[in-house]
Amino acid sequence: MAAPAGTRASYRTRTVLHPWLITYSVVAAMQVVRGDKGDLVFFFSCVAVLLLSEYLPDTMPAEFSLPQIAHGGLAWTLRVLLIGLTATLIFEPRHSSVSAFLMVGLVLPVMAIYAWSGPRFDAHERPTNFIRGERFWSTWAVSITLIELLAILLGNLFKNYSSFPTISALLDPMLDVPIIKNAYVLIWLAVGFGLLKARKGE
Amino acid sequence: MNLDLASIFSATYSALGFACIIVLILGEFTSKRLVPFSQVIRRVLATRTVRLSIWLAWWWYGYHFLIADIPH
Repeated sequence: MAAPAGTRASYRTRTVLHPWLITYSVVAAMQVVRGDKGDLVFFFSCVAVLLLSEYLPDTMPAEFSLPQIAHGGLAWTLRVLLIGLTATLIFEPRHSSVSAFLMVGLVLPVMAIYAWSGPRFDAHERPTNFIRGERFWSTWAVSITLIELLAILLGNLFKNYSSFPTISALLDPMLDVPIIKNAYVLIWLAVGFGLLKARKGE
Repeated sequence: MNLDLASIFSATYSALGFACIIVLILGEFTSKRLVPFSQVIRRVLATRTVRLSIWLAWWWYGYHFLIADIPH
């Protein structure tokens, strides 16, 4: 059925490659230039997960197709983890191994399973003002990624990283100040709780 | 005024941050033309690939700035 005027159905990605898949692939390629092995593994793993999410057939085995668990035990586990993480990240210094264990060993797998669960496509139609908002935020995210990419490429080309700073290089020294680090922890976790809350309306 | 390259990059990041705040505020008051950010997020999270992308990005921003050693 055709979408009414001013709206657009979004059952499937309309581009050949999903825009997020392109973004993650570019960011993964950036890690080859940066030479950060941890980020290299993380972003190429993300590309693999996104490829699976996008191209696994619709009739896939049940274990790959989780129902939405926004209100179930896993969502509560994630909430409890986030609260525990808040305390740990506030009281532990940056780069602490306890925080690293929580983030990598618990939050990442629980969060990944939680994000995988639920519907595969948005079955609703999108009004024009929504598409406009979606385009702005996509352009904004792509702009940030491209400027970061430019900074990394030029910094490596001229071996002059201070003239071509990335956002990370600018924020890193500030985050060594405890009050700024704690403010960042609270903002980052508030965004996490906001994302959890947003899924209720799915 | 002598602008060095680092200042140009910093100014660009600041401008993008400023644009983000302005559009966040505009979205709250002009919802007929531009939906609020919260509504955009709620709708895009209904698609699995986008949902995974946003959650993975969120996790990385925490890990990168709070746990990892950032090379300069």
